[in-house]
Amino acid sequence: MNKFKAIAAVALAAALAMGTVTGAGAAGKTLTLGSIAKPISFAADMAEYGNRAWYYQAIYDTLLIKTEDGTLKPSLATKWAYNSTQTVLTLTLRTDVKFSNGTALNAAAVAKNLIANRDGNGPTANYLASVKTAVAKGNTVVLTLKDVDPALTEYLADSAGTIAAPTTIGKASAATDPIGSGPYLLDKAKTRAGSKYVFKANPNYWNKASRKYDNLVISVYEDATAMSNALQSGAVQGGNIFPSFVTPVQHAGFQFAKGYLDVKGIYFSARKDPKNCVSDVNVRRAINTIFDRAAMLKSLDNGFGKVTTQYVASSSKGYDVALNKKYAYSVDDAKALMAKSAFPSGCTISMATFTPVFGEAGYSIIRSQLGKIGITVKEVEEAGGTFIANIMAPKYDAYLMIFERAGNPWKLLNFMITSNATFNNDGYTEPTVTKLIESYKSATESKRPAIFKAINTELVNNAWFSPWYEIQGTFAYKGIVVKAPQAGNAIPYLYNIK
Amino acid sequence: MLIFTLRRIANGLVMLVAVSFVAFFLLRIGAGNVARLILGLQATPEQIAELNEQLGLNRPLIEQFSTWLANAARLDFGDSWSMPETVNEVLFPRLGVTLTIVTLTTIVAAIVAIILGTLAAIHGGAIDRIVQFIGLIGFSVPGFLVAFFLVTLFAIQNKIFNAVGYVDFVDSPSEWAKSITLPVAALSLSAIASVAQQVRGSVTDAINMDYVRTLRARGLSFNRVVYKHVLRNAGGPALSILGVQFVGMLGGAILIEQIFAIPGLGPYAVGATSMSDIPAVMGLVVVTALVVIVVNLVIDLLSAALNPKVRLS
Repeated sequence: MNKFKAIAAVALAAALAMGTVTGAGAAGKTLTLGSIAKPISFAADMAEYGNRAWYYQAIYDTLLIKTEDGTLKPSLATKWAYNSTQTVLTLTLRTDVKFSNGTALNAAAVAKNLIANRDGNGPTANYLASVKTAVAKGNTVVLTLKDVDPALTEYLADSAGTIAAPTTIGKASAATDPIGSGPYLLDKAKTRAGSKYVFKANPNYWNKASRKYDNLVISVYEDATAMSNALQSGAVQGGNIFPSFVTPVQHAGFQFAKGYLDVKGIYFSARKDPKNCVSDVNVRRAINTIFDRAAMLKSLDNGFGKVTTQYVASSSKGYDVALNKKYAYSVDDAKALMAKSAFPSGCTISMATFTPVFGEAGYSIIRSQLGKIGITVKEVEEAGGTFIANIMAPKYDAYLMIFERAGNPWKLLNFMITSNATFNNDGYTEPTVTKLIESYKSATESKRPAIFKAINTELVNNAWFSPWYEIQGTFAYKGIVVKAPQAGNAIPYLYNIK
Repeated sequence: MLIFTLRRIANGLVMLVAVSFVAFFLLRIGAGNVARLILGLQATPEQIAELNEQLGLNRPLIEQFSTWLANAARLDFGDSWSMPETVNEVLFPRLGVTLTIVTLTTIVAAIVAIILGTLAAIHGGAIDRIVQFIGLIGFSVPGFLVAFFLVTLFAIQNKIFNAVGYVDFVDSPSEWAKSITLPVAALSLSAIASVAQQVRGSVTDAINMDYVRTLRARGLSFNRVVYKHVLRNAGGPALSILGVQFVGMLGGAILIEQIFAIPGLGPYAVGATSMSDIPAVMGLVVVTALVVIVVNLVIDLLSAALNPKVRLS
């Protein structure tokens, strides 16, 4: 037994000694971040922002960048300007940029990237659909558009503007061996796929002054408890947490950047068919009036959010706080609205449910509240793989959903409002809204916020949706500087973390 | 012994193909719109159709399965649909991590359980009641609650061990020990409870056997009888329980690895399933089934080695 103890003691001492030698960190300052998502691919045409933005912003530059509030700033492009009809965009490029493989960035490389991003099968493709041609002319790239696209410059500051070394475009190896001109290089030897991504400084980076850290480590915590534990134990300096973890993480000395990107509510998919009661504006208004939003926020999401009647985000210039007074909770008012509708004796609506994500409580409230105004809900539980496809089909009259709102109004309009928007499932339109969208498109940048606000007012007045509340997104950080949440994105952009 | 082993391997292979077949069809039927999951909400119907084509999801199911099986026979599980690496590049390093945790847990559980079970059987009284109480706690407290408690106490309030992550032994033995202690401890409790009860029962039965009385009458010390004869006879049932525990811990590790952000099979299984990454899930199914088959075979062989009376036919 004594012999065993001696062997164990020697082994432990050796282990500790080896740890002292091999456990030393990389030289320089290291930024450690926790992400809830891992990259699907490192290829530029597969770049996806949202929770995956850091992976791409570490490796690649974008043509433009954005401040926390979404203001565009130069990056690879130093200047950008539209022609008078807003159908030709000219980007002037930097001349001192090299990719990490040593080749110089030029206009031909940028043009090739943009066409590849447009024609690829990644999340960026849709954002560049308006680009007809991209032509290199000296130190500029000229983009000719099929139609006016008020969101294009913003897209160029996001994933669609990701620029890779041209030799990697279309190569399968780009998924794991990315070559960009960004601040960091992927350290494959230290990276553990799916759980920890290690980046080291790009020695040829053109904008070294903006790079505050020599190394970057992104650890993946798909479990909310693991993320909270990682923050509290000091394993990472920043990461998104569930609101329920705010208190313990705050006790560990963290600060928070709180954003309100997501909105929860009931969305309609059968507004065009007069036989269906959600086609009646008074029925939709009654549905908006029958929910006590403040009480629901408290009971369903522990009060972490802001009640709203608007699909448009509270951080948007189109948001109007006065509109939140509309549809104040009142059973009597809701009944009166139903009485005014073409369905005074009530009706039945079909609703897709997905309890693993939205829980049973929300559906129970919907069932009970709509029952008070004579609306019977015919619920059908959908599977994870079919929920989205079937609500988009559209197979149901309504569905409960949490939507992430784009920071850019045009992007938002094309996601939810225009007749062919991704989630305008029934292709619903109203003449006033259509006219306003057209005028938004052709207006100058300075006039667009007022038009967007007018669109928002129409959407609320005519109860296009029944939003309940915005859900708080919480980025916890310690030992780093995050000035504000990133407008339109779930996490702060890497270059805005100091 | 050789014929027995070969027969078990052949049975295992048949089972492996059957499990793969069932898993593949269940996954394909329940997968829904894989391309939509990969490309996100903004993707157009054209993009979705193109990706479905690229992934081969438009081909007949039986054709998809035979292609997969032909590759899997060479241990090539193909490209992952949710990560840039191939399934093999991710799966096998993670298998090593999970097997390390589960094997260590099994060793810890075996040592502690044999000590506790033997002490309880030999001494009875208060020691027995304490072991019974530990058993009750181990059975009734879920592993994830134990994990929360351990992390809070030993990683957050007192930064003795790592709360999250895993360090390879070759990179830093001390950091490896710090990263693996809490997950192993959290997984061990229920295994200790289960195996200790089995050892206690087996030792109690063995102590009352005639051969023990005979050996004692021949002048052998009690300790020698226990450690050389009783434990050997009581070891068979304990070994079977340990084998069951090992297989069970492969499942239990999923939750524990998630909580501790350990890059094992657990988080990979959860991520791949939620993304309908069929090649990855199929790789996981095959590898897990293989481990179960091998563990059962090893347990049978070890039981025979411990007790020659065990017939292997």
